[in-house]
Amino acid sequence: MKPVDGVKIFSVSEISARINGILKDTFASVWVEGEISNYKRHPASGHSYLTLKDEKSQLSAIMFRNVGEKVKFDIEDGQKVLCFGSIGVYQPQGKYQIYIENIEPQGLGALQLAFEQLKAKLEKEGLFEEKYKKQIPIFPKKIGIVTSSSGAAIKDIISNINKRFSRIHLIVNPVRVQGKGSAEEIAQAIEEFNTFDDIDVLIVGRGGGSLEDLWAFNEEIVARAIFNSKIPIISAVGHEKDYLISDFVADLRAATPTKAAEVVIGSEKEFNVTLINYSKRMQAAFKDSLNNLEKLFLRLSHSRFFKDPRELVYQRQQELDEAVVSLSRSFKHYLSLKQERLKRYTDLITAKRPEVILRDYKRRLFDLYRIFEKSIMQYIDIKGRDLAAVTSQMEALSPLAVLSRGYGMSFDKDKKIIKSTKDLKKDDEIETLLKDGRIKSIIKKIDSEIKK
Amino acid sequence: MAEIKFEKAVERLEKIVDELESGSLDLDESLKAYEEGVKLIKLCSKKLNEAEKKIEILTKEEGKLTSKPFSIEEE
Repeated sequence: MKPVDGVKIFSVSEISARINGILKDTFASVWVEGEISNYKRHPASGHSYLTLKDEKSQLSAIMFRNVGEKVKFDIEDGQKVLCFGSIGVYQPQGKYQIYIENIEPQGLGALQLAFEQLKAKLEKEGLFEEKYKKQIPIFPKKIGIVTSSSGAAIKDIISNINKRFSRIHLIVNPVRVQGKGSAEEIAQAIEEFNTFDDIDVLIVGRGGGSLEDLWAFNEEIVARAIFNSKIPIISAVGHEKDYLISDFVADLRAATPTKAAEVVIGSEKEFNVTLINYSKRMQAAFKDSLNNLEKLFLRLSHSRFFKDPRELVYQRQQELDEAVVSLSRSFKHYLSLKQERLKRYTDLITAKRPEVILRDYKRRLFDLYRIFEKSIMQYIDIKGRDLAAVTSQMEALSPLAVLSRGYGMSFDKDKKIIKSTKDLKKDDEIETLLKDGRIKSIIKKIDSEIKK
Repeated sequence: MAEIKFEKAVERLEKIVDELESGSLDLDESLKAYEEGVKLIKLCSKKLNEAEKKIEILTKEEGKLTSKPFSIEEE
């Protein structure tokens, strides 16, 4: 086919200009309703570019700086708007577009509206309620991750978990995180993890993107799968500002995948510091309670009743000492009498066998000492027995009730209270005072430390 | 007997330390609490140490889930 002679042949620019002219005439002033997406404001020129769309079609739009400066609200993707302007061709690209002269918001955009509607529905059903939130374990051994195996999110999660605690078992269940069918895949992956019985926590999420990109996490099927999971779930979708249905229904929302890695496990150092702190607190507390017990023992051992046995002995010893003194005084007297007589006899029989007489007296003197010694021993023995009777009576008395809490006091062979293992050695015999009597024990083993 | 979980161990540890610090225990009880506390600290520390590094990815083969090692390619 060839052009008929004389027919005008257009250049591209000419035909573009003609089309532009027709469009401008036909659509010089139109109202167009649609949802905003791909909104961008060019920083240098100040002009704004966006796309208006509905379910089936889209229309490029430009808003020059002088128009944009007059817009009162913040233009964002997803907003439903009503625009007034003219339609023309952007000739370098042969693309028709609307030149916006006025823009008004129209309630919520369709996606936003869908989000609000589902959120209200699930909230009413109670899916976001605190009472259903499961506790995230402090130290999960096995962490399941539902995300794309190729995105930035999986790298962020794995590298950040490993930075905090390197020896952790991670399992990735790879899914598509955007596009048709992605919500179903995410929901299925959560269900699959629930067939395992050793996964401690799940991270479900993806990196940042447009509202459309993140949409799977706003779908009901994902929300239900999260709610029905027996394993606690951390939702980690997009950036800080993005709030999705999955965030509301999950047991914990992490603002980003990186943040999820930070909340899912503490650092190894933190764990160790925690344990060391417990250990320190316990040692201090135990030392305190031992100190208190020692104070109690000291108080008991200084009390009259527990001091008495020794005091009584001392008292008797003193009496004995006095008796000995008086005895020896009279014995001295007796001796001096004897000596006098001896002297007399000696004088008398000086010439006759004086050695024999002297020996005889010496022997008698020795016998007297023996008798004296024996009588002292007997005296001590009798008094000692009295003492034992008095003491055992005393021990039956009320102050011993303090021993009923389970304490015992142990004494060494010198009746001294044993306070330390250092006072003892193997095979020592000790006596222990318990609430209902006393026992004698032989030390078999000494452990100088209180340990497990 | 089921193995005591890390979380439970820490919870119990917190209780023991509180009790010891309150000074309400007698000697026997303090000793027992202290011993149990030491055991729990050892257990927790053991659990932290016996954790094992493993990164796996799930795959479906004939409808069955299996896991195999996973490594992230560095770009």
